[in-house]
Amino acid sequence: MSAVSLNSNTETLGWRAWLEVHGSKLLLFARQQTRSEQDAEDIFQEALVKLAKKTAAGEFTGGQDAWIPYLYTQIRREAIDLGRKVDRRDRREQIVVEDQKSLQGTTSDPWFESASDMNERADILKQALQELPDKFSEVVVMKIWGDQTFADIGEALDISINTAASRYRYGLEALRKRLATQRSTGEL
Amino acid sequence: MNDQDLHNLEQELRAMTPAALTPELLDQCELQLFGANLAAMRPAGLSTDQLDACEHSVIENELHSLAPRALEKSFLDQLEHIPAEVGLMELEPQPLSNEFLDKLADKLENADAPVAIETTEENVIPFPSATQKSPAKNWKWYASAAAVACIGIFTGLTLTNPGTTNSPLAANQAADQFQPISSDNLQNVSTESTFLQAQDRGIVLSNGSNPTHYRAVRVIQMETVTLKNDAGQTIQVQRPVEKTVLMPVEAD
Repeated sequence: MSAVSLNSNTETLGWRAWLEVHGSKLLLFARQQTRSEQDAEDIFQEALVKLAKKTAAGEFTGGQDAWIPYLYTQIRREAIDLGRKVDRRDRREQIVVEDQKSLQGTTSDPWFESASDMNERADILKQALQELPDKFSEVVVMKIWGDQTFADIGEALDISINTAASRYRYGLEALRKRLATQRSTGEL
Repeated sequence: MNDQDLHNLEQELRAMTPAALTPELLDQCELQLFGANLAAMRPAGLSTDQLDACEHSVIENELHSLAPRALEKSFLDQLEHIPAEVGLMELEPQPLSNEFLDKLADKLENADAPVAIETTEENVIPFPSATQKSPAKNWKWYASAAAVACIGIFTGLTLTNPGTTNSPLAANQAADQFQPISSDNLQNVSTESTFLQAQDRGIVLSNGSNPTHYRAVRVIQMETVTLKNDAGQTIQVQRPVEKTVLMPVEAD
């Protein structure tokens, strides 16, 4: 598939190169939207297939810069569809497994790279982000790592710009309180 | 400079005559007063909202420093093929020809009718005709059977029955009619196979690395062998024969 150039100032990357640059943050959003690594990869792949089809058919407007907002929107739609398909009983079973994992203090599908110089505070932030309510964490993920505007976030999540901004602030506030709690208990 | 010093400075300035105030002296006084006012100012405390905003900025920076887990190489390899797969999906297979569609429709409409099995000549075992003359391969068996049958019949007809009269009338009468045949040198005159019945036993699969489908058909025939002895007397022996015929068939 030939890469589409947005304008003369934007470097057009090949398909694989583009994935190497932007894939991790999109997969992070997919992980946030799903309950397992496998589901995250599935919905990410589905979203990419839809993008490839639209581009190949000449129906996609905008260049590579427009791929990211489109993919955020598509990943969320795929996650919603997947959630409807999964049986309620299976979801309850999976939530039980997730609860057990959180009680053990470990997660089998980490969202972030683990660096050797990562401090304790960073570890608490990672865990706190994964434990945030979905409606807050999805906005934080899109804003921090996706560099999306509140307008883009609102469009992808089908919410108003103000709601997107509010949820972002509430998300950061929840993280701040979590850090404060860790400080007060002496864990940080 | 404290309040007392300020007060003293003001007193000095008031005591001075206007003519004694040179521009340089005035600038010096103004600077001293300005410095005094600045020192008297107290910095305003940050509000809760301002503090929270500062902390949020710190948290934002810390979140930015976290790197999302990179794509696994195997997953990246898988995603790399998406454009090619999409290109293949756009290719449409050649549509079915009208001739093939008609043939399929015909097959579906006649699904209950017996299926004509096409086989090569060497694999076809033809059904025997109603009367078929063919040499019996084991006619000597028939000769033995004929001899035993002759003895049995003769014995049955000549022996007296305890419950009957001393001279069995039926046996005498039968004995008059029945002429015993010598079983010496019985020779095969003719053999005939009469087709009685055929039953379709379904499709079977042969063993081996390259299994082949066969249609199994159970064929029941009546073989009739005519035997003749040296005296020219003939005897016919019949025996039913059951065979299972396997015919290769094409299967999907």
